[in-house]
Amino acid sequence: MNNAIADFFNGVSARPYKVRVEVSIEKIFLSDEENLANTTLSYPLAQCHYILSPTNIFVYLSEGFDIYIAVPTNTNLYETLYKALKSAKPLSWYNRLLQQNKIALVVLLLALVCGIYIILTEAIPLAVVTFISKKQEAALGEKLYQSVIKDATIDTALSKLSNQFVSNITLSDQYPIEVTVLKDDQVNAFELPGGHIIVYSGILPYMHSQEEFVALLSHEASHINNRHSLKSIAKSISSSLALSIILNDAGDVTKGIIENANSIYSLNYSRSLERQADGEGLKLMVKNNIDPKGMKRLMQDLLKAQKDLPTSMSFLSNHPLTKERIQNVDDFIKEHPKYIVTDHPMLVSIWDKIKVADDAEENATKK
Amino acid sequence: METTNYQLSFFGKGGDFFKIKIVNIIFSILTLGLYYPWAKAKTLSYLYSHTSFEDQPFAFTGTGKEMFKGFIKAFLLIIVLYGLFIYSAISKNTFLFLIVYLLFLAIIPVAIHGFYKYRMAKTTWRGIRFGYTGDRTELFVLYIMGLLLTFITVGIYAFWFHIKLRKYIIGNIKVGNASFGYTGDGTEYFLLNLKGIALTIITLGIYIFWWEKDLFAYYVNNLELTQGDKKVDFASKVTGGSFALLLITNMLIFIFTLGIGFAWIQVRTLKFIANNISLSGNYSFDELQQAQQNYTDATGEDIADLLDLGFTI
Repeated sequence: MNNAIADFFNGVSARPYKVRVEVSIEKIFLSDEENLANTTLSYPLAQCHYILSPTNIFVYLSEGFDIYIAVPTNTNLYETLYKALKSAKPLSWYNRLLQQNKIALVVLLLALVCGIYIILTEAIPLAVVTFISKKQEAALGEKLYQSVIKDATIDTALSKLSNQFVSNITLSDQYPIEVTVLKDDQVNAFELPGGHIIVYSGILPYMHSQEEFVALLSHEASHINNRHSLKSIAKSISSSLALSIILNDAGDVTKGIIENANSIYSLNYSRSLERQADGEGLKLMVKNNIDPKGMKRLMQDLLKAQKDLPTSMSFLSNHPLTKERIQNVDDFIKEHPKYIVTDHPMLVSIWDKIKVADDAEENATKK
Repeated sequence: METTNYQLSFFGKGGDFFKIKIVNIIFSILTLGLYYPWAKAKTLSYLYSHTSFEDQPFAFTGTGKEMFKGFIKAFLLIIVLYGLFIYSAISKNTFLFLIVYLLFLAIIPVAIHGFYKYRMAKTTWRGIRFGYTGDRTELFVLYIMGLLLTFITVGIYAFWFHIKLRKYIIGNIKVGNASFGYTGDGTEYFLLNLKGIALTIITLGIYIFWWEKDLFAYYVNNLELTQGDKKVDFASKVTGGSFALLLITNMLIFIFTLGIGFAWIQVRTLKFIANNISLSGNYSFDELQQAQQNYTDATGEDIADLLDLGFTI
């Protein structure tokens, strides 16, 4: 029978004992070579673990990894032992699975991964958002609002005029819309959950009619009405969770939650949410009997602004596909040929006041 | 007295390690992360069993099941703490915020203790268990005092604190009936870092590899293993140049394989470390006897993972 001399470690001392190793289909037999005890021990192969090194095969004989033998690879026994160990080990369930149709497995796996990714980044955040009440949303919005205005200067006069402007149109059935104009050169506007719209004064000079202002406000109001910011927050948290899981880094999960909690208002909306806000915004304009072409003019004017001030733009700059958005407005107008446009003397007069106040302020700061 | 040179080596292969990692990643995704303790057991057992000392491999005997139990406990604890943390931040409750913050700090020494206790009990070589015999309260006091002094001295004490911690932890690590020890000194360590910072600034960052080399050497050279009057000394053979080469090539591998090469990076780094530590002494490892208790509570190990503490003290 094939056999070899090996080192045996008994789990009591680190001293190696010389043993003679023999292998059957099911068992490993060890017999003492140092004449210390005249016994033969046997171990079932199925419970052994083995490790290959360049010089030895190490066979752990028990679950606790404390007794093992080191059989040199240059002995006759090596091949036999290795084969016996390999075939005695019951295949784990995934190794058995791996022996099935490989292509089907890969497809199945990809489908599973995609499914889980979609559940994590789309379904779960949406479900979570529906559980958040209007009251909680308003409270969150208020907290965010406080932190936004903390380091900013509110333009009280323009804010007041803008709110008068808003009171003459219907932007939301569900949320009290309140506009705050901040003194800031950035050409931007954004909204917070629950009804706050923040308009930077830098965007006002680029709008040339009350319709464009309505377009801007309807776009932001549509984000509010559809809870886009909540959805984005939930999505960004669960995406980073998904990523942490994929990267197998538990520490990042908890870190991710904290970081997300801190960076709520540096959000960028996805293209589909922007498209939805444009579409709903146009509907709001039509509902208020205001010419939806104002949306197109707004985009064109802001595109010009983007060329003037390439760095300080956010309303459009996150969306390189402004042309596509303009095209969508054109399509909307074509599809809704029967919209009614009425005169809005109040809006016009308030808009004029806004422009006058804004110009005056701008001149004042220039001096 | 006769001196022997001992051989440390890592013989893992990037391809094999990659296979383990990729299966781990897939299972982690499929189980929404719950596979993580088993993934960890697989990773550690590969790395340990492919590291050998005097031609005999180490073994990691911890199991996914043990670490899963610890994971659940650690996870609940961390969730509660983070919940309180976020709540106190949102509600601007400064008092609660402070309490939670202190709890986070207090949890660290407890986690370090649990981590070493479990990790060492689950490490074996030639069938002989390692062990950690430190005392939780002692470590806790040492840690909190160290933090306090670091705070009072605007951070300067951190160097002495670090060495003290190292001395305590390494001084309590055993393998069988032999004991590890660390002979570093806080002042030396401080000066080493001072020199590192200064030269790194002067050389516009290039010296950082040599600084890292010095830190590695300061760690390794001060390690020792004793049993009775017999002793094994550790020495680093790393040079700044080879360290720079390793880190730069690792970075290039990472970039050009779009991160997929991480398994090869880890393997070659371990090879580098093993090849650059030389051990010599008059101890015959045949005399090593089993002496350390087994210990199966992995909560500390898991807290350490969840908080991303990653100790190499």
